[in-house]
Amino acid sequence: MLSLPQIDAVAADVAAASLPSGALIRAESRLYDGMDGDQLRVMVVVRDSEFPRITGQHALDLVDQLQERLQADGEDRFATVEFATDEELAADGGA
Amino acid sequence: MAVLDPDELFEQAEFLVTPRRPGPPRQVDVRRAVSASYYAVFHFVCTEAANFVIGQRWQREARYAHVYRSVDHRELRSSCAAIQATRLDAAFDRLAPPGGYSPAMKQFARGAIELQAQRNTADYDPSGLLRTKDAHLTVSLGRSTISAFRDTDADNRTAFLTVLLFKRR
Repeated sequence: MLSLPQIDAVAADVAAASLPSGALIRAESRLYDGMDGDQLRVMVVVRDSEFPRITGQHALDLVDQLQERLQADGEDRFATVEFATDEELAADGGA
Repeated sequence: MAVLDPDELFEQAEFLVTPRRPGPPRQVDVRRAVSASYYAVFHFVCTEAANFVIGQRWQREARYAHVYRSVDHRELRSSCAAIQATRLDAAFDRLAPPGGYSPAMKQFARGAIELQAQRNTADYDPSGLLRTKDAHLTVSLGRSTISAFRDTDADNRTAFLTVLLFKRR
């Protein structure tokens, strides 16, 4: 089982490789109580200006590769992914 | 064409998150959009399953509906998790296509699991706000998930639908 900072690092690495160049700002993971017990939720924060370049295939590549990398690193918990832009987080007061 | 056409569910999802008044879309609309994106994939799978067992030309028959309605969310999730695992369970391995599941089928499986988890959050988790842009990307993710399934060959589809529909004894 990986620590949250380790998961953040894996998620940032996978997101940088999966998304259009320059889109990624950071990835942040947290635990939540999912339908099957403890699950991970990874927030991928991207530049608002780059968001229109992100396609469904980018998102599918990201979620697929993230789970594969986490499994390879011994992490069995399921990780779901949400996307947010820097402007949305600033509007929330959370940037 | 299926009665619950996945393309129409995706269009409905996009309509719900398209601004029609000042300010961001309502949470109820964002959440229904995420839910509809999962249901587009779910009904796509139900249709594939019924076409596989009964055949598309019998879609008005009770036996078609019987197979269609036999697919449930938990089985879909467990079947997708089983084929997406790095190492297949021995029982599933025997059912796998020659050479194992294709990357496209594994991507379909991962996408379906992701969408189901997002739907569970949208429908049942009142904590936190779902963001509009994330919902837009969820719709696109749903479309790509179905495309991944369509990119697979007949062996992969047969193996997956067999795992999904028929219980191990």
